[in-house]
Amino acid sequence: MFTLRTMRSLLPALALLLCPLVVEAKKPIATIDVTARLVKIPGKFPADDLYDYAYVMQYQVEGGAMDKQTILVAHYKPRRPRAEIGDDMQKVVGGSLKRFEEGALHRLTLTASMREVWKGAVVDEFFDTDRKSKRYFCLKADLAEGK
Amino acid sequence: MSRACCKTFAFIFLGIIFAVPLFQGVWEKAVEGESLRVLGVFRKVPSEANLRSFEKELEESCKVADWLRPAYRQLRWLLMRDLGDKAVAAADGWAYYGPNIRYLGEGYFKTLKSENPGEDPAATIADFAAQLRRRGIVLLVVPVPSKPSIAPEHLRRGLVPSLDLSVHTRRFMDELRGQGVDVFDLFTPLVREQREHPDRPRLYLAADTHWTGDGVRLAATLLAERVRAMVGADEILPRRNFRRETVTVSRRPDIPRMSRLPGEAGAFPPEKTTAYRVLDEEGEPYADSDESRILLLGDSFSRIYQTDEPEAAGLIANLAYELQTPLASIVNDGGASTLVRQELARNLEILQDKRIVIWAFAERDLRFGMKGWAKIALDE
Repeated sequence: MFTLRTMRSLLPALALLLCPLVVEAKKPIATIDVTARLVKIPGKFPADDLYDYAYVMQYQVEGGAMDKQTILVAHYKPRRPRAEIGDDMQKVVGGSLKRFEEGALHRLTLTASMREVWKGAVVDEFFDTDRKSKRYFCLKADLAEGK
Repeated sequence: MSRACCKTFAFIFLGIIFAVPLFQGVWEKAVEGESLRVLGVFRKVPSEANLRSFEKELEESCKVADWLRPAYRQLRWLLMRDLGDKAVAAADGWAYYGPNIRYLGEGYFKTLKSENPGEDPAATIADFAAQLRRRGIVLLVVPVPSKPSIAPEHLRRGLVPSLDLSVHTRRFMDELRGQGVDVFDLFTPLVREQREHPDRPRLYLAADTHWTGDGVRLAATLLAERVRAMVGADEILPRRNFRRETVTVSRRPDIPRMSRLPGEAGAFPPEKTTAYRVLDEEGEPYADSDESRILLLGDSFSRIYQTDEPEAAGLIANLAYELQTPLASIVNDGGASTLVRQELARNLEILQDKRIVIWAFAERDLRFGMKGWAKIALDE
């Protein structure tokens, strides 16, 4: 029969069994917070009514860990304000940025593991000139003060 | 008409013209707290491309238009059954994607002014095939028929499935064959199936751009036969023991969704289709393997039912089932013309031990592929 005592003795074993599942479920995505200026939008954003895509833009980091570095950042559905991403990606992409404009200063939360969060199309107009640089994926974008 | 009346009308007219941009300016500055979008015209060289892009941006960002558009779309649908310029509503609850129809009606791509001059799909594909050949890999090109090529019956009374509708794509396939590239023709068997067996399950969804689960299954069966003939059964490794189960999927159609018709789910309810889900020896859903000898490059025709619901039931899984080996794949929605090869170029290790690359793309991409048909050097 199951008494309170036997149940209590089984608890550690149960915890050990469940432990890997819990670790798996909570595996966080490493993120980087930067303040960076949008220096180049290399072309026109393609239409996003049939296909969802991320579009790669060039930033210059201002301050922080990657200060003065030029980085390439993919933004999901750049035609839309960040708060109006209405599909499955709204769980991943956020922020208050309304639109992308060259010269604007943004506060960005990035991940270097783009394919963990976005497996769809990436429109990358820097491909011909720079294949090797890492493409970051933007999880959160806000307008920074001091634009 | 009195002078006062004329003045009143003139003021009302001017008011309508100026109210919209004035309101937009106030909205952007006061509500959104951002700089005026209209000033963007001074930030770029006033070239034709920049001015057109600026005009498009103004159109899309207009708040007044944003508020009026849904009502206008709804009215247009109620009065004329019109889904706008992206889609065509057809009989019996069917809908067709505008660019698919436009593709059929336009001339051969070489006789038209391309948006990406110098990017000839045939030349680009032949170049890609040559690069793969140098690595000991063969390329099989599979243009996937769009719905109007195979199932045009609902578009207009009297239209029947016919190879005449795919004349441009078949001409393109002949051109590729002439350049020594292997091409798989899905058009002939699918048209035959649609024409000779109307009693069998449909191959394309009614209000979606894609094929049904039965369309996927038939395409996978036909394609597997060709792959076996090209590679040889002994080369198809690793061997697996996949099985298949039948599942019913309810799919929200993409054509009404992209027409942005308010309440489109009421006008075009989700469509049920049978999908064929592939399971491995342990009963787990099919999963790709980079160790495969086969790499598939694809677009949304390869993604549907595969990573969409019910998963592991798309072209990739069903081809793997037919061949009894897992595949490696790179799928890029709408980007099978150029983007998918860019992704391949960034992950060249996936080509290790490959014997064949199957490149499947929607036929309309020959004209409208996202980012055109740029040549990409794999070894750069």
